[in-house]
Amino acid sequence: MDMFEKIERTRHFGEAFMLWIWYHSVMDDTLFYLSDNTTLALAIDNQMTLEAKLAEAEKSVLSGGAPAESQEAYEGLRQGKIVSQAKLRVQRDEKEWVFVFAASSMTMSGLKIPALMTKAEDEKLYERQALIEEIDGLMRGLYEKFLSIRLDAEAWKTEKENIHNWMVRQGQEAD
Amino acid sequence: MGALEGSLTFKTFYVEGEPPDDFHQDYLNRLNRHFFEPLSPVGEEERTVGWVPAQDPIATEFTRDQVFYNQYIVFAMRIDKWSLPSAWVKAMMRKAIAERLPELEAEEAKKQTEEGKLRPKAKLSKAEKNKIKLEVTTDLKHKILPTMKTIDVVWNISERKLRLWTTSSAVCEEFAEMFEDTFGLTLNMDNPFLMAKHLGLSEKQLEAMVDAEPWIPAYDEEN
Repeated sequence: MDMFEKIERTRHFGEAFMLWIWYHSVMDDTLFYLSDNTTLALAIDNQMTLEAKLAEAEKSVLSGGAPAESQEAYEGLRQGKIVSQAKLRVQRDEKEWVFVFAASSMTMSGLKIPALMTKAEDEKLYERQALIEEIDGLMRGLYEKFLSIRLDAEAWKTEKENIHNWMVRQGQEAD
Repeated sequence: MGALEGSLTFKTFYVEGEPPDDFHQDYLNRLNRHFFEPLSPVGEEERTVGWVPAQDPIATEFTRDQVFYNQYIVFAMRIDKWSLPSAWVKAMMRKAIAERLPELEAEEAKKQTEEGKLRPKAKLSKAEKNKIKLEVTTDLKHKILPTMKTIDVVWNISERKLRLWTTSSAVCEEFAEMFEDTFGLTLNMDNPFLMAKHLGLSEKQLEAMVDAEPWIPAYDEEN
């Protein structure tokens, strides 16, 4: 199998990662603990897109309010939709980043970084890059944590049960 | 824009391959060899692409201090193209054809007198129309500037990661080809598999990723 095929076959890991982020941001009160002992707060902000992949392509764009806790989002999940992208708000210490994260490509767009402290042009470049690399590192750290669960058969079995039960529970609450 | 100010929308690439020990002069020369060349109003090229300093896209060459910032190599991809106002092209074509027609009609009338038989109505051939269009567009190109777009590039040489300030797939593809031509290094765009690979997952774990089936909770029959 060539590299292109491996890349295409594993795009669903990005989608499962996004679902995992959604589940834990709601269940763990937005708190995530990375393997290097970093703690961060992550919440889905005011924008979320769910897409049906197996059936006919159908897209639900939810915006405004708190879409991650809306019945439309849970309904989409129960209908077999995946989260293709969402606006995320991440906080660590005093810093905050907001960006749209696309699941299958793991890309960030419209990134808002914390305000720069420096005024000098050269220093601005370093500070700006450092803040981009910091959020990039946090997202990689989160993905690493997700992978440690996803690639561990026992841990993934439990995680799947938890996510599935959460999805069913949200449906019962709505009924 | 993006590396220094403005919107933060980018694609991340992994740079595959080893830079030489003393890469500074070598990479500066390579960037200057592939420096942006402006479009000429008389040329046939409609679009041109090349590297420019991110801070000064109308500069004529790179200087060392514009490119190297500790572990970062910073430059921009500049794309220029002619974007002629179609209303002007049409109006100028109409005028040029109207000016040429009486001349052509006189030529036809002369031929008719000489040959003594009826000639078809004077009409411009396709080649003549193309010639007029070329004259009109060249004339217009002398009066306007091409559209210019610059896309910033920040390459973290120590982490072998590069950010390109665009999300356009076509631009990313063209950029990757130009980058390979310039530096002899290949680029791979970030994705769930390569991110896992660069996080240091073992071959066995990567194989497990490739073998894993997508999981959608609504279709999970086990739970």
